[in-house]
Amino acid sequence: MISWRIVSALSLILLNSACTNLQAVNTTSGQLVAAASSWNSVADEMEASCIRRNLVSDPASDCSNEKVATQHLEDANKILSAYFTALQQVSNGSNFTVDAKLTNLSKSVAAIPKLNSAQVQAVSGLGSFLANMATKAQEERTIKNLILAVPQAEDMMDVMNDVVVKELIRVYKDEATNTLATFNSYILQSGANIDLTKLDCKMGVSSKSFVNGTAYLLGQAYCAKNTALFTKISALNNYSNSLTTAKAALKSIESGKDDLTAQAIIQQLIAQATSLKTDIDAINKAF
Amino acid sequence: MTITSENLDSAADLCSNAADAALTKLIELGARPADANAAATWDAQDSLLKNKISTLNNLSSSISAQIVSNALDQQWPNLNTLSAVTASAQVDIQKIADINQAMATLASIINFGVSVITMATQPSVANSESLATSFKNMAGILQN
Repeated sequence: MISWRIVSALSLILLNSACTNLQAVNTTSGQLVAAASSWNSVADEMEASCIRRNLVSDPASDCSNEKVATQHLEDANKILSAYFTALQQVSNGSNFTVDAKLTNLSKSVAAIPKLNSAQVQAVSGLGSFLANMATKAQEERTIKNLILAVPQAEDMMDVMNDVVVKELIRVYKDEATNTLATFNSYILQSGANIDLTKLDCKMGVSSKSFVNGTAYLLGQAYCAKNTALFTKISALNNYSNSLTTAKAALKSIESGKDDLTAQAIIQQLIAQATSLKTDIDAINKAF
Repeated sequence: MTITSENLDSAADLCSNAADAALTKLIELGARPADANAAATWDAQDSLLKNKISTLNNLSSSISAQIVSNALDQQWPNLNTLSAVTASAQVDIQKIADINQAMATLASIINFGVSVITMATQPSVANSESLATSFKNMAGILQN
């Protein structure tokens, strides 16, 4: 009887310690998955900007290099997204629990004739002890293996932040120059001598500034395009911020790998998840 | 000469700046003149400058895209590591599903054993049906 009680108590203690709370890691990695998804809409812009520029270009570009760059970026995002998803899955307690099946096992054990309730509890407790020992070890090993690849993910995000942001700014500037050249040319052709660079699109286009209706409508159309482009350029800051925060979040997870339930790490991760959400929302709105 | 990302960056800047200079000239053309001869000259200059701006910007953007692709190409070893680690984690998560399956199998075998004992000690139609059901359940789980 004593041995049954010992097994029962031991298994209860180990069962409780196996319930490691990785909720903060799970929340943050969920935001990392969402961030990687929003980064795809930024990746699409290499090609999309070229297509928009062609609408006001002569000669047009075949956009072949831009298509390749977009494809490469989407491929990289896919890999990062899968990595973040694995991090999210591994920090999700339900993926590393056998509780539902243990209930069935307890029922089965309870049906064995001539076993009293203490013995039933001990046998099913032993089952949960063995199962949770196995799953707990598996969970820790898996999360530690994933954390080993954090430097590679950080390198990738550095490239996106340093190279992609800089090159997209240039691509947008080229699109803006072509748009301005085309609209300004049409305005000058209409006989109005207006420099669209001096137009304050944020203030709205006043008809008084234009000598004829054609020029006024052209000024309005130019401002609509210019404002849309400016919104995208501004959102590159959110893209850059989200990459910086994602990298910091991975660093928090890496630095806390020995105790991911420590209060300081949890607070950092929650703050990073909140910051990521703000930037993701802005990216999704702009693109 | 080896083409580096710095070379490409300078080339793209050169194209982009030249397009800006052409844009300034285009704006400086002023309103299209009413005189037919002057207008023809204006049209030719306008067309030439717009062509120059488009060509230079097409080139500048294409070089930018090339710089992005080159930078990503250098990241493939890192991305391959990330893919391998991710695949390994997915296998580990699947192993938990396997443990769940093992627990279900164990429960079904115990159920079958209990039904056999019950049938042997208390033979009845109800208990024989219960034995058949637990056998079917066990066979079904073992097949999966």
